[in-house]
Amino acid sequence: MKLLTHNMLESQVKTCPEEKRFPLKIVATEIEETEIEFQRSFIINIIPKIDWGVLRGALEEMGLSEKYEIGSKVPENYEEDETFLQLAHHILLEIEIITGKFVCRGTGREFPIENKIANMLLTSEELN
Amino acid sequence: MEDPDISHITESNFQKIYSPSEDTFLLCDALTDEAEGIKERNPKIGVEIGTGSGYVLAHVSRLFKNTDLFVFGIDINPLAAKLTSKTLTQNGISRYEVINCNLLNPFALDRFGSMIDLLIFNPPYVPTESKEIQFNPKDEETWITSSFAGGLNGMEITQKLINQMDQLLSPHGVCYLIAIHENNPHQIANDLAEKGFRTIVVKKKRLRGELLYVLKIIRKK
Repeated sequence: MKLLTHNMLESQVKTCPEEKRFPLKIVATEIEETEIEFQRSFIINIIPKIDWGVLRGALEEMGLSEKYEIGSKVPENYEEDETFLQLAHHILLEIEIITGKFVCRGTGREFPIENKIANMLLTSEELN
Repeated sequence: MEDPDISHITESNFQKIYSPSEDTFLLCDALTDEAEGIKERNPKIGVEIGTGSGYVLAHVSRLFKNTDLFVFGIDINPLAAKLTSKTLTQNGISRYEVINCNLLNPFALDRFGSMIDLLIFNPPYVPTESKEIQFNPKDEETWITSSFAGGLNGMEITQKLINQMDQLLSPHGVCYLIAIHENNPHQIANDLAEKGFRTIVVKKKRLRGELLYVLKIIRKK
């Protein structure tokens, strides 16, 4: 499970208050840093869609905020900032949660992550 | 191009997940034929809902290798999600994420919305009783059923996606959707037209008594 995806997922638990659905809390027990081919225009396009505060929070929850220091917002002219683009690529796509869980902040409902795959299934009773 | 390698999937796995069949191959053929046109749209985010073995997603990822495309594979079936991830890795693909979920339910559409450039759905399209589409992750008997049982007119799942189409497709996005005659493709096209989309039949073929359509859906200009 990549941090790009974490930035897009929310809790769908019926009893969770609206303001607590996003982002999901991360509990990572096994993290791997992998190598994924870099596509510059993909990263340039995705950056404006990322909630940067949520991404910083995710790194913190994973104990990686000292290793990867990112500012509170995207630098100006980031399109031409090669170092920043490479860093964004690494953080969004190459840090992989192998095992762990997402936790709904409103209800504590856990969504297990195994073999990189998050199980986001809810029963019909839990669902909206 | 060679067929995707799914040699790691066993016969007993195929008791629980959908085995690549005529509809799978027709969809792959359609995507191969359409590849140049899709590339002109410069897709960045791809999503396949209901990946099953991962055959189609592996095919697509290879068609668009060395492009910007990053793909999300979605399946409600935990085993299908796991095998899809293996299939992609086995076929040398790294730009992907697999999620075990129902349609795009856990995606925050106000964030992820209108972001999908390439959406692929070979839905459970077989007309069945509505109660047959009840999926229970704890009951493995329901896993394979979820790959084909479509409820009333085989449209109960497809309709959910159609209703969300405007929140999903990016301005230049394109969706490839499989339907059979019993799903009433004309009605699908009319419904989508009212929502601002154009539907084009890119493949129509009778296979094993099923009249299959591959529909291409884009926003009206």
